[in-house]
Amino acid sequence: MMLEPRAAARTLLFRVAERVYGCDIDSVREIIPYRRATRLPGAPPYVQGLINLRGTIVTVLDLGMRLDPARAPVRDGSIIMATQGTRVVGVAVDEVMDVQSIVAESIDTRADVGPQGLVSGLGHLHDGVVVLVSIHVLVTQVLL
Amino acid sequence: MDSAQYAELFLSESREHVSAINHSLLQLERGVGGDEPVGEIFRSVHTIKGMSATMGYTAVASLSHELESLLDSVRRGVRSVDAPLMELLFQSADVLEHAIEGAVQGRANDAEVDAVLAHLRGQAAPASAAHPSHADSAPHDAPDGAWTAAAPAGDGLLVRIRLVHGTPLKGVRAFLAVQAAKALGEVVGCSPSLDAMQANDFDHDFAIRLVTGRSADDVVNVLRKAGDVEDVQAGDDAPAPMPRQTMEFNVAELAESTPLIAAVEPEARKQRSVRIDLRRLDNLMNLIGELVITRGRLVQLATTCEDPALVEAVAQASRLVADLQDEIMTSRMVPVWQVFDRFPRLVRDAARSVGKEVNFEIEGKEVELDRSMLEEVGEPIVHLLRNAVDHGIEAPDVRIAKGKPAAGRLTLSALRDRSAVAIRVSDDGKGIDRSRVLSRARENGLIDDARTELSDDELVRLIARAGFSTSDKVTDLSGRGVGVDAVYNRVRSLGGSVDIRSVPDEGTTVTLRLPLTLAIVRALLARVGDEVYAVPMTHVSETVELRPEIQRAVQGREVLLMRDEVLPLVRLRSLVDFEGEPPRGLEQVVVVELAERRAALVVDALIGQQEIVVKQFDGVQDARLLFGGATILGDGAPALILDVSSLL
Repeated sequence: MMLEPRAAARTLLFRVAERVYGCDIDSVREIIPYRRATRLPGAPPYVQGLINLRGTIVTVLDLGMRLDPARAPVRDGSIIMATQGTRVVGVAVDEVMDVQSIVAESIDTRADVGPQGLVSGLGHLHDGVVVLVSIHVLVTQVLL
Repeated sequence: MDSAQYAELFLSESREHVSAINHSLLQLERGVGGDEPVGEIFRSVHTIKGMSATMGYTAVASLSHELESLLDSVRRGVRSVDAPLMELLFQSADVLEHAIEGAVQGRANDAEVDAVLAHLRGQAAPASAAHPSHADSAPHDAPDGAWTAAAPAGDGLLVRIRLVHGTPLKGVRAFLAVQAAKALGEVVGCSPSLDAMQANDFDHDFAIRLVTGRSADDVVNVLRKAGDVEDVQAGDDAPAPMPRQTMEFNVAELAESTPLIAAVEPEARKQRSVRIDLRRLDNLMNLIGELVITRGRLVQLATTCEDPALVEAVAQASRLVADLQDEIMTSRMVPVWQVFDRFPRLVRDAARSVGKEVNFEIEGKEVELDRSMLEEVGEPIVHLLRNAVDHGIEAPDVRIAKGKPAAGRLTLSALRDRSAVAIRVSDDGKGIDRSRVLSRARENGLIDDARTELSDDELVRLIARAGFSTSDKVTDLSGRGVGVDAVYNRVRSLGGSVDIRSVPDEGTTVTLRLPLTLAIVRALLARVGDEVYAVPMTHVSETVELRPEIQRAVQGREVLLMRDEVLPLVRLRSLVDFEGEPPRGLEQVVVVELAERRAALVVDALIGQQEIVVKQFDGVQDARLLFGGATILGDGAPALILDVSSLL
């Protein structure tokens, strides 16, 4: 499946394990240091649990495990607070890297890209490839 | 005050009056209370008329004016109370309510108002030029016409002034007369309000309270000389029939223009109350919630510092926070009648539309509940009442055939019960048809085909399922299968529980148990491994140690023996899939209860009771529905609040 070439979007780049991911910077509200979440019993493994963000309870997800359940959970690094409508979700990542303008190009359907629609495209960096993820899809797939 | 705030005041007061009107209409219809209901309705309509004229809501004003005329002819015995009249009055009350809401929102529903206006005009007795007195006031009416203005409340000489009929600019004349009175002393009350007078919204007389050193005769002589005054009377008459609300409403307005009058409004002062914007109260509640969390944190920090002076100061602050919280919670409590008062009318209409007779009673009207909780619970109660009328209570002929009175009994009661309020809707109808529920459940594959009986608990669980209805026909009232499950879900989301008891041909009782407030609850904190969970105290009946001698296994299931009771044992550890270290030492049991169901919840250790602030969080797909929210502990970490109803 080929996607139409799109205009460059300002993208927050971050690392989970050895892979670089990116999401639209507009959906990012803030970035906080990693902290351990309160486990939510019964929730799928990619849900790290709940944290207290200045009095609001926020659900923290592990993007790596959402894309590939076999991965080890993030246990250090940062939590990206992303907003989707009125909802806020935390995304635990190993390292927040940079903000760059990225042109989303294509998705190789043969690649293991996790749940339907979560990976919205690929982008080129000078030294590699960035996997672009859709916060919208992440939130609507996971949260009720 | 700007006009929007006036509009809000007008709206809230008018709503109260419309609710009072409906209440009295129901009394009138049942023929109880003698002349009183008509008098009550008249007074409420009169007040609405005065207020709406002041606000410039002409549709409301003319509607209430015509309604007033009709009521007047009823009161004088010119028009008798019969079914068509009741129908017209009920209809007028509805249209009046719509007109009030419409006027405030700036949208007119003229067609509706005009239709009723025409109807009312056709009904009212033609010659009502001479306005009669309020039935229970003014014992010394002048023969040529009665005093119609209510006596303003307060101290001072009551002075009644009537203007010459047909005088032009009567508002101005009235104002001049009041000015003349001010020259004699201090005017401390005025009825109708000055503004209503200036808007010409009064018949031909008005009344003032005058604090003066002059004799009554002096006052009469001076005021007679004011222009176009027909008659003046000084001296007290019987207690005023005018409800206070008009005055309260106008005092605020008068405050800016005529401080003299506003400064002394003794009745309003005695009340010692102010109106506060609800958003303010909500903000206060949020802030106190944050403060309660911070207090927990402070206490924890102080304990680790081991500085006695700091511990002392923190303890002091804690007590103050607790007091503050109590005060704020109390200030948000309102009596349930504020919502319940509209139900008699609703039940009446519902019963009529399905041809049933229902005697509806409300008990425990004065029981108080947090304002937002009360608002939230209104809709579920409406569902239950409609269900009772539609499905519970039988048609009169069926009832008579069963040896029951033709009219069904429907009771709504509120009862304060520890830190919860129980709201009960009880009818003496046919009860829930278990065989019907059973067969419907089989059809939908919800239970085993072999089952022939249902326990009360199973019954509740089945009918609480989304879309489950045993009614074959969808009526205007219910039967769409959105009744019980909607009630059940709403009440659970409020932290409460639903219990249903039903006996064939004896009736159905649904009990909603609700916490007093939404935001802050007392909870028992319990530990499993290194995790902390909160159990709302509303559902905790006691705690015991899990000693081996009180444990048994019955049919392969663990149970706990307490006194003569056998309780099913639920381990929180396995409920939350805790995989850490096994518990050390004696485990603890929290006996949780919900209505008559009880269970023994086993935890590693108890931390203690604490006020917690309930926070909602976004649910996660596939996660278990074990929790009714989360709270933030003293160390800043979230802890989950167990939803006890999901355990039982």
